[in-house]
Parts: sequence; C-alpha cells; structure tokens
Amino acid sequence: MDGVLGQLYPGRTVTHLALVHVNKNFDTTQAVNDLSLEVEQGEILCILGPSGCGKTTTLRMIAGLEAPSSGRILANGKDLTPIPARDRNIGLVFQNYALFPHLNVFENVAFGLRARRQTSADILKRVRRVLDRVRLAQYETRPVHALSGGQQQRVALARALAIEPEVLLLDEPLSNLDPSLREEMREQIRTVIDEFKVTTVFVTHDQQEALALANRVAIMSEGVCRQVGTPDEVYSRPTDPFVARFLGRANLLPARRIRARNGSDALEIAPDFQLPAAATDPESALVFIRPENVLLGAGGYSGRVIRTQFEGPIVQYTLQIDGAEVVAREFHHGRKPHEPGDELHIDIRQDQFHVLQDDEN
Amino acid sequence: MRRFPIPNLQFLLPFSIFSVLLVGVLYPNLFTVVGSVFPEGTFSLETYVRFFSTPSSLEALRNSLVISISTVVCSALIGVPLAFVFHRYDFTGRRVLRAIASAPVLLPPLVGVLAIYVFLYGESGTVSRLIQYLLGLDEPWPQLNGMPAVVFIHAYSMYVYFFLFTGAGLQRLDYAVEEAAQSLGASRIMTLRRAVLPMLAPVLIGAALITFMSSMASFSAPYIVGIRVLSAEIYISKLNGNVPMALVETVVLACASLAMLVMLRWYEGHSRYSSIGKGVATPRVPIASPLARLGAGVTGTAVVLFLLLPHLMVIVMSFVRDGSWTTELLPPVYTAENYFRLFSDAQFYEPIVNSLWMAAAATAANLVWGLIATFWLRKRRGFNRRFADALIILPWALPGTVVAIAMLESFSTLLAGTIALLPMVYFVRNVPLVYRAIDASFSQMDPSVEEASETLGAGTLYTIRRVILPLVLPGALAGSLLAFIAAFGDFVISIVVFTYLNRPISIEILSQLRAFNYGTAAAYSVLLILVIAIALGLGERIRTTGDSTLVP
Repeated sequence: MDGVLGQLYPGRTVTHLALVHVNKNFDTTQAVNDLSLEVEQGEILCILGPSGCGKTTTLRMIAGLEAPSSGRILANGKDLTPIPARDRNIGLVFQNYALFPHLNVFENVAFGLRARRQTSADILKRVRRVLDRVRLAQYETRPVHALSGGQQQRVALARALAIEPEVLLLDEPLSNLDPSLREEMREQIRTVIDEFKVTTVFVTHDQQEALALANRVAIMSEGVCRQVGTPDEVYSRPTDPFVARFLGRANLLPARRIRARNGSDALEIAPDFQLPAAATDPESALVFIRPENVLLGAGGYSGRVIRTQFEGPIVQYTLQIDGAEVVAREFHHGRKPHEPGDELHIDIRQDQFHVLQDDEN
Repeated sequence: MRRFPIPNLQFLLPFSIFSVLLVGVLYPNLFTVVGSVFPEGTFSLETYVRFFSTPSSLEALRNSLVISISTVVCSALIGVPLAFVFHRYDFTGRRVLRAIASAPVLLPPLVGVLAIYVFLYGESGTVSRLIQYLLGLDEPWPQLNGMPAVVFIHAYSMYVYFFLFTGAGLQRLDYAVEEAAQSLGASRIMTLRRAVLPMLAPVLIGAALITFMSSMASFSAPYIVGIRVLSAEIYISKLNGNVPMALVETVVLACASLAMLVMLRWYEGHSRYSSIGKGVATPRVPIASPLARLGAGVTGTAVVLFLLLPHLMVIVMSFVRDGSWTTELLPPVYTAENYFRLFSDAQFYEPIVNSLWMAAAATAANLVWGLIATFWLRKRRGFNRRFADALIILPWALPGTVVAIAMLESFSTLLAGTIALLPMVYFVRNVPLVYRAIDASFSQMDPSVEEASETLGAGTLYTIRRVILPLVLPGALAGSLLAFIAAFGDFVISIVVFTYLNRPISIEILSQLRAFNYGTAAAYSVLLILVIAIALGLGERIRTTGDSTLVP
C-alpha cells in the first residue's frame, strides 16, 4: 500500500487505480480540477458528466495520452505518471473506435500482441479466445469497414482486451450506436467485462448508461468531481444540486428551517407546504424530491394539477402546492390521467426527500 | 522502463526539412531578388527602369496580361456550361464524355502546342486544310496564329480547371436551397442568379485565379507560336546573355503570380459557403424528346472529337515518315519506323532514358522528403510551421521559368552545366505537389488510430511502420505519380536548365520539330502521352483502393 494512498483512504487495501489530486490545464482553461478518485479491483467505475466537463481528459490521462499538469495516477500503488502510454498496459476503447482501417478484424485484435512480439501461436490462441468472447469468431478475416457499428465496437473492445490490460477504459462506449442497439450492447459490454474481471473506467454523458453499467458513478462538472457513489446513492441521495438535476428529473424546492406550531423543526417551502426537518438541516435549504416519490391520491398536502403530460406508461404532472411548483410522475396503469384543475391529496414520505445546502441563497 | 538508450536523432527531421527549403527555395529566390537590384555588384534600380521603358518588355507584360485574361474568359465560357450540363442532365454516354472532358490533362504542354498549332489548326494544319477543301476556299482556314492561337491552346487545356472546380462546387451544393428558392416563387433565372451562382462564386474565383496563374506561367504555347510574353522573354534575355534583365523579368513575373496566390489564399479562407443541412443531391434530368436526344448526341460526338483530335492526330503523325506528308489530306504512307528508331538508335533513346531517370530520381526524393516533412510539420504550430508552409507553396505558385532561372543562376558556380541540376529543379518544382498530396492523406487519417496504437503498446517506429505508412502511402504514391508525370513531360524547366548530356524528351521533340521531323516528334509525344495515361490510371487505382481502407 502506497503511503499517499494510505493517508487518503485509510483502511482500504484493494485499491487498484487511484487518481491523487490530479489537475490538467490547457492554455487558459482548467479541464480537470483537483480530482481524486479510486477504483477497486474488478470494479466498473463510470465518470459521468456533460460534454466539456473534463471526463474524457481524465480518461486520456489514465491512458497516458495526456500528462497531468500536477497530481499523480497510481496503479497497484505504483506511480504511472512518468510512464508513456505504450508501457502502461491500459486498454482504451475510443469513442469512434479508432480501428486500423487497413487491417482486418484478426489483425486489429492482434496488433497489441504483435507490438509485444508474442509468438504467432500465442497470438492466434489469444485473439481467437477474445474474438470468441465478443462473438466475432466468424468475422476474423473481414475488413473492419465491412462491419456494422456494433461489430466495430466489439472489435475495438476485443483489441483492448487482447493485451490483458491492467485497466480497461471506455470512452462514450455507446454514443456512436443506434439507440435501438444501445441496450443490447450495454448488456454485452457488461457480460464481457464480468467475464474478463477487468477493472474498468468508462466515461459517458448519458445518465441511464452510467446507472445501468457501473458499480460506482463519479459525477463531474467543470473539471470538478461533484460526488462519487453507487448508482443508488448518487440517484437517491445527491449531495449537490448539479448531481440531483443531472441524474434525472428532480424537484429542488428552496425552503427555510422554522420552528413549527407544534414545536418541532420544519422545512417551510410555502406556509401550507412544510416537511419535517432534522436538527442538522441547514437554515436555508433545498429540498430534493424525485418526481416518482411525490405520491398522489392520499396524504396531508393538497395540490392542484397545472399541466398533464402523457408519456406512454408514465404520466407527468406539474402540481401546485400552496404556490410551490412540484413535478410528479407515476404509472397510470391504464387509469384515466388527472386533468389540469383537479385537486389532489399529495404525500411526501419522510424517507423519500433529501435536504441539500442551498448555496445560492 | 526504456530498453536501452538510443541516441536522439530527432533533430535530423527538421534539419533535413529546412535545409531543402532554405537551399532549394529561399536561397534561389532571394538570390534572384537581390541580383535584380545589384546588376553590377552595387545597388541600382537601373534594370527595372530599363524594363519599364523598353517597348518590347512592356509589350511582353501587356501580352501576358491580355492572353491570361482572355484565357480565363474563354476557359470559363467552355468549362462552366459544360459542368452544368453534366451535373443537370442525363444522356447516353454521359460518363464516357465526362471522362473524356479531362482528356487535355493527358497532353504535356509542349505536345498540346504541337498537335493543335502545328498539326491541326495552324497554317498548314490538317483541319485548316480540310475546311479549305470542304468549303472550296482559296487558302486553308483558320490558320490559327498569333495571340488567338495561344489563347486557343490555353483554353483547350485550361478549361479543365473551370470544368472540374464547377463540377465539384455543384456536387457540394445543396439542391434543397434551389428547391427553397423555387418554392418561394423565384424563376429559374432568378434561382440561378441569386441562389446558385453566389454559392458557386468561391469555386469560380478559385478556378479563375488558377487559370490566370497557369496562363501567366505558360511557356510552351507563346514560345512555339512566337508571341512575346514575360515567361518566354525571361528565357530569351537569359539566352542573349542579359542576365540582369532576365532577373528583373523574373521578379516582375514572380510578383504577378504571388499577387494572384495571395488573392487565392484570401478567397479560400474567407468565402466558402458550406451548406448548413445534410444536403439533397441534385436529380439529373433525362433528355426525353427524340430531337433533343439527337441534338445532344451530335453535339456530344463533336465535343469528343474536338477534345480527342489532338491525341488522335499525334498518334497518326507518329506513323508518318518524316517529310513524306505535304499537301495531301491524309498521309500517303504509314510506317512504324519512327518508333523503331526511338528504341534502336542511341541518339534517339538517350532522351527517353534521361527523362526516365531524372523524373524517377526527383520523384523518389519528393516522396521521401514529403513523408518526412508532413510527419514532422503536421504537429507543429507557430513560426516553424508558417515559415515552412510559405516556402513550400512557392515552387507551385511561381512560374516554372522563374523557378528554373532562379535555381540556375543561384547555383551557377556550383552546378551549372552538370547533369544533376535539372533533376534537382524538377524536385524543387514538385515539392508542393507531393507535400500537399501527403498532407491530404494525413488529414484523412483518424488521429486516434495513432493513439490507439500507442495504448496497445506500440513504439513510435512500430506505429509508423504498421499504422501511419500503410494509411498514408496510397495518397503519397498517387501524388508522387503526378509529380513524376510533371517531371517526365516537363518542357519549361528543361529548356532553361538542360545540358546535352541530360536532354529530356521534350527538348528532343523541340529539336525534331525544328528539323521538320514531325513523325519523330509525334512518336516521342505518343510515348509521353502513354506514360502519363498509365501513371494517371495507376494513381487513380492506388488512390481509390487506398480510400476504401480509410473509411472504417
């Protein structure tokens, strides 16, 4: 265990890849700002964020294609920072796949092994094995431009896996595929990663992709890591308004902490819209509620439907509770949706909202 | 981590790039400029004053301008409508005709002049005499001569610029814009005037500037026809031993060409319309009415005949015994002896051998230097890059006469009279051509494949050998073949720099022409055309097979 890591994460012993206070400056912009991350052995970590948030730069720094302006990148406790990309043994699947257009499927996958001067017998065996896993065995001799997008991606994945990398990196793995193909490819990538038991970092701007594929998600914006946690943690208990909004629809309602009439603490969103508060809640707060946690039909609040939006299995309502706008989503189960003007009883359960510090007020 | 220390030889790359540019491009041109203001070793503008006060010099300048402007107008009048016809209409033989439209490219400048001016339309040309015979005239017609002859020859070969540029422009044009104009109530004329032509303006201006530059630089046509123009005047001054005047004329011509280059660059940078949407392909209108089809067929055949007549004529002439064909419509006897002589008599095949080795050596150097230069320069920004770019473009922008005189004069103490100078000038002249071809190949390459190679554990040399070269070489070879063609068929540089020992084919054609050995001159010309056709075909094949591997 490396000293620096020990200080950072006392008690952890399975850290495989770590970024320690990494910064990256391009001419005038700071692409990555004091980023520290750790990835455990065999884990799938997703770096999620909007375009320009620094996630691809981070990936390229791990691969060795960009050098950090400061900070260190460690693998198994060893400092990778001074090592050039070709000696890192980190597999990278490029967003546009970057297949070698002049080589066929087999030679693309064999490229890294040939660069390592392996014997042809070894190369044959390993390429066949990997191609088999990504279900491309029968395409060996095809030129890569004769493949579909999904097949090209699997070649790129096989090529990165063939070198038996320490860490596998995927840059926006599904963004170049047809939406109809994405879900299928997501499953396949997951299966292959699980089979190879390789520590994986992938970046995406698509929150569904992140939540579905990753063991843990790191959300970045403007070069800063906002939160790291399991998909459930970051979705249900965001620590930051940006994270709350980025991972799906969110109600973020400004509230003040007050002493309620019954003597207990309360968060007042509007005079007739108060939620129970904890003693640790800030004076000036943002109440975070996912729309699916706004329960309609029963409960102690009353609201009026302002807008109804039908989305197939789900209906989204915009409601007003004592002047405060709240969005709710529910399955309609074939029932007729509520209409604008309808008055409804509304419930928000204590474990289904979450209080954030309101930095703006 | 490193296997073993290897000496860092990377400095060799910029060194070899810049030594060629400084010695081959910058030094000769500086020498020319300096030499023009130091005629006797002291600073003096006297030669410039003399240039601008000598009627013959001014006549040369005026002729150059008049011929170039006329060439632009004529080429545009032929090339632009032709491109529209091919783009808009569908008719039998469209693709064949389209290929034949570029036929003038196959003729090296000197051969074009030979065929058009001497064999076909000149005072005793076959067409002139045919028209005389058919119409019962007193003397042959048109007896092309003087400036009209030069403009005719220019327009025949340079309309291709307008044809190709306009065709490419129309291809890029989004037809939806025209449909939009029409849906807004614009008439066809108004659509053309207000929507199509403005979008084509950049390509038309580009074609006009390139045509103008080529015409200003053109040497063969005015030289053979005997019209005083700047590019030929330089050579004549030099021949007469008036080197200071040759240098001044060189500077004047170079300035005119560079002014055009600056304008071309400015237009390239400032007024390119790119369509905003995905674009809709133009539907081609089939010609339906039988009468129109007949008309189109007849016109098409006439155009093909006109375009291929020079080639056919050169082939026919190559089978005619020298001096045997005088006033008959068709040659009285055919013989293959012109060809036998080319390959059996050392006197005759030496020029072929000379042209081959000099073009091959120059082109090989172009390829190697071009690969090194693009590899190193593509990742540079700043002064190095801009300086190199500026020098690289010069040998293309400057007329061949200028490049040749500048190098001949500046290397006169060291290399004049040696057989090495001519291939060196070929090399410098073709630096831009090959560099741009390789640069285009590089820019088609996805930069992330290089990074992919690196992440897979490949070192720099391995990446070059296994990734970069295979991807860049097709384009590089295609560009090199063009350079080979240019050097192999060159006349303008050769006539300035050649010595008896390395006299190339074009010089031999000229001397056969002067001895009225038309058959021998034609046999050489056929050889040139053949080699050019083969090289172009080969280049096209390399390029298209290469292209298919570039799109993953």
